[in-house]
Amino acid sequence: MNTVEVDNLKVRYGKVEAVKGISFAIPKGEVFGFIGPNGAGKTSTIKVMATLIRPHDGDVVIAGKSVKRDPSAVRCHIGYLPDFFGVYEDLNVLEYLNFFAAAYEVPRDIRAKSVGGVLELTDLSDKKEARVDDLSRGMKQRLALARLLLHDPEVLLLDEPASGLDPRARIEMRELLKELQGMGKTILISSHILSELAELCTRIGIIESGKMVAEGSLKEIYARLEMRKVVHVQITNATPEMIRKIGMLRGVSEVEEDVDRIAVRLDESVASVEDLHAAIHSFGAKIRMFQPIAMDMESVFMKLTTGQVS
Amino acid sequence: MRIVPRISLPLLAKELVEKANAKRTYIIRTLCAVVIAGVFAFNMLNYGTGNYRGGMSLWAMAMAGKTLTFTILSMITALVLLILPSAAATSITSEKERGTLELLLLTRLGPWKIVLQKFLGNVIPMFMLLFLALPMLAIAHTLGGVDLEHWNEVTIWLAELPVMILFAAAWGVAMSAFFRSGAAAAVAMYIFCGIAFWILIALADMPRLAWRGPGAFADLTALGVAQLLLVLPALILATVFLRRRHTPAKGNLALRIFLALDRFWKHLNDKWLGGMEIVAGGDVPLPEDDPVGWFEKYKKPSGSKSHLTRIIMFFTIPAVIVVIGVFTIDPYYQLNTGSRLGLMLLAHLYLGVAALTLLVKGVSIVAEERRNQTLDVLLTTQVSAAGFLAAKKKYLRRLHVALVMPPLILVVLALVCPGINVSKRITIALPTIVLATIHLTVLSEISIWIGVKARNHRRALMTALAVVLVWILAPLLMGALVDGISRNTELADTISYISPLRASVRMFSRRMPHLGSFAQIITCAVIPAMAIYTFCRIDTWRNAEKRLRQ
Ligand SMILES: Nc1ncnc2c1ncn2[C@@H]1O[C@H](COP(=O)(O)OP(=O)(O)OP(=O)(O)O)[C@@H](O)[C@H]1O
Ligand SMILES: [Mg+2]
Repeated sequence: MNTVEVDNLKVRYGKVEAVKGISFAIPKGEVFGFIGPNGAGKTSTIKVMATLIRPHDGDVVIAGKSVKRDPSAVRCHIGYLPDFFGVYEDLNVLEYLNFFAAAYEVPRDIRAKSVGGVLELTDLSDKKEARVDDLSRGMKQRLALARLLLHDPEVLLLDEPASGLDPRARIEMRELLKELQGMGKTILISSHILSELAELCTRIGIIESGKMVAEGSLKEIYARLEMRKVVHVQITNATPEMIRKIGMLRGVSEVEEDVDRIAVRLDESVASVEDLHAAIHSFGAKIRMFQPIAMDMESVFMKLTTGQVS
Repeated sequence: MRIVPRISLPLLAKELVEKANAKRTYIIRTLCAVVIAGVFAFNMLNYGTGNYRGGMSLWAMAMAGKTLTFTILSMITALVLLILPSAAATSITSEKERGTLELLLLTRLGPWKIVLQKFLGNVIPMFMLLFLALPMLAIAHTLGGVDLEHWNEVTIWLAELPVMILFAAAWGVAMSAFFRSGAAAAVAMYIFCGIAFWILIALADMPRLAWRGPGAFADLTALGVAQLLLVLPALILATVFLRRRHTPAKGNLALRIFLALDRFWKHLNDKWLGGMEIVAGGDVPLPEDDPVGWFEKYKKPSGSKSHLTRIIMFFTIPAVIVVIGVFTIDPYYQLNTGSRLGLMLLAHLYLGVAALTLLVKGVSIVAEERRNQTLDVLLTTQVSAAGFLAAKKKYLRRLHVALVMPPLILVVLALVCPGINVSKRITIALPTIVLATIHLTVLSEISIWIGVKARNHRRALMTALAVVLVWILAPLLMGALVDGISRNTELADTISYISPLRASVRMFSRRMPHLGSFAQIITCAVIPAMAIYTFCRIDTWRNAEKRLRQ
């Protein structure tokens, strides 16, 4: 059973089409990493899910409710963390949380308890009287998380929760999110940093200029990444002609020349590493070193999001 | 070798490009053209046909030229006074609100250059408007122009206009540098302009009163010189403000002023009134079921009851003291027509302030939340867009009530003075009551409608001001036009009563209106107003979800 289903979603701002028909689903209890460079359409997609923008076409269904037909029912099931905090002149932490508890219509008799609970969870209990605008960025982010947990939603929509945080606060945030995952929440996190999500997410979707370029479980994405190898080769008698020939081999997408070696990008689903070795050998090359390594996440991301792969 | 260093004014360039691209510019230009054409046609019809069957007499042509000249001049003056103060007052605050001022100050521009460029950015478009008017004045001239006697007046007026522009732009930029929000700066600027205008006029009037000399244009010259002398100080002041206050202070100015007033009032109360309890103070409770309303009530300076009470006191007490003083000093004075008119004038001044405040607050309802980036989060909770607007409106209505209290109290004071008959009492009371209740309610609704519809705060403010201007002027022009074409004075009068200005001026007229004409005022003022109100209200309500969620 999928808690979140996005179906051929399109978002337009006037003439600009920011999201061009993306589809994905998040099963219950999973953490979905929504990754893409600046301007890819992450925020636009999340805003539709949070019922803040009406989709131009397509639909999003959250906990069985459509954002188009029944936005107010959807709002009961989601907690939305925008990519900014906002200015709350003259409100302290306790007032802030009670303000939103009232806005979420949390029943009056359990309000104090749920405010206390989220303060505890986000470790802000001793900041109750502090002015919201005076909190540090990390504390503000934790307070925002506390706010969206007030009405105990099933689905959390987090737009770049870690942006602007120092490494320590990032780790704290990650621990907090893991805890929430343990509580059975379905979470969507957007980011433009892949490695930040790798440890936390069970599924990943990569979006680029409004289109989904890769989507699947972390395993599937990793499996696909495994297939893409970079092979570092040192040839003592290398000639330009030889390197040109290597570049034309089946499965080789690119050859980069370094000072003392070449880096060959190879898709293993087309040709194996052994085949590559044999082929290079057959060109009469004297091979001093031959070292296949899996491509790292960052460079795959760069490749994926410049449209060279897939 | 370059002797004169090249001056680069990047901010000015940006400002002018932005202004040229704004829809507003085109709207204003079209509006100008339409009004001029209308006045022109009206004059032609009025003097060219009708009474003067034997073709256009020379005298008629001369009259047309004169009317047209003065109409053009007053219209430009009105336009400048309407647009410039708010445009200048929001020029730097808009950078503050967008958070771009810090960035500008970090560049090599520096406060002085920023102020200068913002100043020029406001002055240049206005001067262009003036140049636009020159061909129109030329046409007026071909129609006979003005006679020698009035020619001096025209010249001085034409000379005063640029001075006025420089003055208003400089002080507007100073306000803009001082205040944190555009709304506060705009309101302060309009009030400042009003006060400055009266003070300067009064000062300029002195020589005339003393010597009974050449009259009207002499004081305009004096006014111009005074204004010109005040341009540079304003710019220096703006630079000082910008240098000192570019980091946003905690809590806003209005709040601090209110707090200061609060202490003052408390002191007075404790010392003189023996601690009279006006409003129960105390701790702020936590919000229960109306979070938006709670915020307005406890976290906004203009929301809480004690502050509203203070507004009423602040405006009313001085007037009451003056009236009581007059009565005690001279019991036979009996508030004659003159002082009654004075009271009513003050009442209408208060109504003007109320209108301006409601307009700015109404327009800012949504813009403020957008600026603070707090709207999105709120709209993902169970608070609906309509519910949000309803809560905000409730507190706007309270402000409305507080603001119209002082003028209504003044009306009552004017009414209780002895020796006037019933119909006179109605003449005094009715227009003020209609303006204070119906017109201001409609005005709030229009401002909310525009504020919800427009994406940009500044544009919303400008649009709302323009709408008010049209509401005031269009019926008057239409009435004049109908009068010119059909000579149906009755119909023309009826149309002109749609304008709130006409309704308010009506009571100052010497001719005593009979009761029948009140029915006319009510029908003409109230029915169209109600129509506009209903439209705005329904449209805002129906599209609230769509507009607040982009
Ligand atoms: N209100 C708007 N009006 C017009 N265009 C918009 C608006 N909001 C976003 N866009 C455009 O839509 C596209 C997608 O923007 P979006 O904010 O969804 O990207 P994003 O993936 O969240 O980027 P980032 O990582 O920078 O936050 C961009 O090209 C942006 O310019
Ligand atoms: Mg974004």
